[in-house]
Amino acid sequence: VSLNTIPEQRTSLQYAALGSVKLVVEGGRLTIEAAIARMAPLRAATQSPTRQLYSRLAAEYDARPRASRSSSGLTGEVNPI
Amino acid sequence: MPSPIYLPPADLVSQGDIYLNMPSVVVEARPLRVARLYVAGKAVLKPGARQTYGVHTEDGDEPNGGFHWTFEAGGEEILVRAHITMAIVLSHDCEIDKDDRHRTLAIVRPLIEVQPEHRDGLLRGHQLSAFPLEAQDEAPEMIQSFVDFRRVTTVRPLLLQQSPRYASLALEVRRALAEHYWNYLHRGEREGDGS
Repeated sequence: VSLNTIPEQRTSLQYAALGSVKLVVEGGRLTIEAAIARMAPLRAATQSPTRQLYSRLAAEYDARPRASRSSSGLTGEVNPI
Repeated sequence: MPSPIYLPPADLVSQGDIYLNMPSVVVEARPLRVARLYVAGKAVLKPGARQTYGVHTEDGDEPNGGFHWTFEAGGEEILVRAHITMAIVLSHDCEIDKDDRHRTLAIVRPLIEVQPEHRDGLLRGHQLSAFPLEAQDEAPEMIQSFVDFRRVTTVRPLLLQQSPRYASLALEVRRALAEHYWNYLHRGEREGDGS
C-alpha cells in the first residue's frame, strides 16, 4: 500500500490503518512498510467546516418563506424566448 | 458514516442536479460574429458530416435577409467561447415544472483548480462566488469541487434530456446551495442589517 494512494485532500490523520505498520528510517529517508488489510476514513468526531456551512445555510434558507415546487411560475408568454 | 451529499438522480430533474459534460459558454467581446449555415444548392447534410458556416460580424456586411436579432425573428447563432464541464442545475424546481424553455446551469470545478491558499476559505464558505462541494467516496463519487456562480449558462430542457444526470444533491445541501447563491447575488446583505 502506498501513501500516494491517499487522496491529496485527506491527511493521514483522517485514516485508520487496519493492519501492521513498520517505520524504517534510513539515510534520513522515512519509509513506511505496511501490511494493511484496508484503510478506512475515521469517523469524524466533529463536522467538517463545509458540513457546518451546509447546516448553517440550510437553516437560514428554512427561516424564510419559500415557494413550493409548483406554487408559481412565469407562464403564458406571448413571445416565448 | 456521515450522511451522503450526493445521491443517485431523483425521479424529477431538480435544483442541485449534477450533469457531466455540459456546455458552458461565455461571450468574449464585440463585434459579435454571426454564423449562418452554408448549404450549396440542394445539398442535404448527412448526420455527423462537416458543416460549413459563413460568419458575419455584426458591424459588417449583413447576411441575406439581414440579422435576426429579435425574439420574434428567432435570434441568431453566434460564435462564443465554450467549455465542456460538470454542471449543476440552478433553476428552481417550480420553474422546472412550469417553464419548458429554460434551464440555468452553473459550472462545477475541481477544488485543485483554486490556489492552495484559498481552498480552506472556500470550503468554509468565505468565497461568495463559490459553493463548496465535499468529496464523496461512495457512489455517486465526487472529488472536492465547487460550484462557480460566475459561469452560468442557459440551456434548453432538451439538452438535459439528451444528457445523463450524474447525481442529485441531498436536500440540506440543495438548500445550502440556494442560500449561498442568494448571498452571492446580494453579497450577504440581510434585510435590516444595515450592511
